[in-house]
Amino acid sequence: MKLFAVYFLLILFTFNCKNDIKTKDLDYFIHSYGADIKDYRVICIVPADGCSSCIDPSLDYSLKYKNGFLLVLSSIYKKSFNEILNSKKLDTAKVMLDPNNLSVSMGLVSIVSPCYYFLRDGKIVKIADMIYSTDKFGILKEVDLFLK
Amino acid sequence: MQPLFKTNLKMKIKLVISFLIYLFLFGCRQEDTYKDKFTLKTSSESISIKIDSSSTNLSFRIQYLTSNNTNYLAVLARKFNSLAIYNLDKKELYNKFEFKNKGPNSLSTSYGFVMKSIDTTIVVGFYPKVIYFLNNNGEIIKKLPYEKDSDERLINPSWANLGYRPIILNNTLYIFPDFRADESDGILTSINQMNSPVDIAINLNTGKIKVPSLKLPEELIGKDITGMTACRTLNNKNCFIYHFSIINGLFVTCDFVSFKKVAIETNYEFKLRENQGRNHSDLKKALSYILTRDEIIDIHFDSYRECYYLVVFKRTDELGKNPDFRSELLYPKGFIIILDKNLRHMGDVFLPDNTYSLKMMFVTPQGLYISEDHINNPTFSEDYMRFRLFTLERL
Repeated sequence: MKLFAVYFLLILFTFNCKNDIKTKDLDYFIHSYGADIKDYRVICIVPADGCSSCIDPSLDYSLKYKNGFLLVLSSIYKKSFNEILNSKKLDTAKVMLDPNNLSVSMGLVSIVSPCYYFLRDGKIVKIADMIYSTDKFGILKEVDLFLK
Repeated sequence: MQPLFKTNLKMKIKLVISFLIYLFLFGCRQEDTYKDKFTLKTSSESISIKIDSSSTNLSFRIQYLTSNNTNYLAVLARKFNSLAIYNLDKKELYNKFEFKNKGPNSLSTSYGFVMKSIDTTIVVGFYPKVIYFLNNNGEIIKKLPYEKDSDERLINPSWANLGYRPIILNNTLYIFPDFRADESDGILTSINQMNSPVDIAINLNTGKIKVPSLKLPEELIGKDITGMTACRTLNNKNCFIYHFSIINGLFVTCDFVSFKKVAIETNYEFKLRENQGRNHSDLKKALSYILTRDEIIDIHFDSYRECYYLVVFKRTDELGKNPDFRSELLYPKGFIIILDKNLRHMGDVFLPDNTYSLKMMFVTPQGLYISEDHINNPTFSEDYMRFRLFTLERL
């Protein structure tokens, strides 16, 4: 029983440490574009050059623009930003663009699928990376519930 | 006590033997190094074409073709769902298709392509698995589903990028299957291997699908094939040359019954990827691992000069703190290994970093054209597509 408690604490500690490091990275990333993670409850980073079936559900979802939700588009090409902003009719004022590749370099998102960061008081409480999930819409439902 | 001349004789014999051993060892070492006999020389000839807002200068799906003594280059822009065909002689757009995902003229959401002629484009759709024949106006004139082969086995195609490109030979379309072993944690078992054909052949007239009896090389059995990539080309003797990214070698087949393995003759020491399944859960670790390993990303056969160009994604041993993964993966550092028609070494050609885009190149009667649209090239512009001609020269 004691051993179980030790393992539990160890896992908890490891998990928290991992999320703390990620929080620092995400904070640095968002700050570098003049924003504050404390203003958001869910941050979704989308690789604009990812496959359309991978990124489309997240882009469509972002059109709802709930309070506390931030969409970040990442690409090295202006054409990719323009294409997505125009075809999806996104509000440019509400989208953060990452033309410096920072999110990919920092390992915050893959080059294929979006990644969701669930935040509470500026700290990551959950990461849902669509690259590791087969249930994309399940993640979106979770975002909905979290933002309620 | 031995007489002096006898001691001298023994010493001489020892000296001669030592010299011979040295000569033998030295001779053997020499054979490990291939002498570069040829190189690819930068020519003053280049192509520069203005491209529109829904076209790209980086595509892993391009095809050079000729028709009525005119040179064309077809470039698929996946993110814009468009295929642009450029007249290379006039350096202008010849034709452009905008693909639709909805409506009667819609295609699969992901696809590759191969041009049968300047008037007939074949689009290989992956989801759903349908082959579309397009006319000169980009209209679908015929569809061939390829969900299952004649033995009712599911076809599992891979992306048609780079060396995975579809190939047409004698009215048969060859598409590269996806190689996976998910049910055995990425380890290729002998059962997986028996069910892993190296190509899928589809008759373009009848739609009949033939899965060749030739399977993945046996030496892959027991190896982790997670993330294994492959590439292949076709030579002028109708033989296919394959490379599998976790094996240092080329595999040649002319009958799809057996392979002949050939060592890759280069002076470069490869550090290939292996056991990639280990890095699967950590994205940064996985990307870093990819960048620190070498990979042959494409093979081009030059039918005009009867040689092969192996395009190598060269590893970076020391990655910085925050490497620019996207740029490094899209615009790899690299070099080209030139092999003759018998796959013997002709030369290793190292290209300057941040200048050429190695995922965009094609062979013409004049030589090898390599894209100059590297994102870090100071003259890079998203509005232009530029290629530099390299000619094969004897050293």
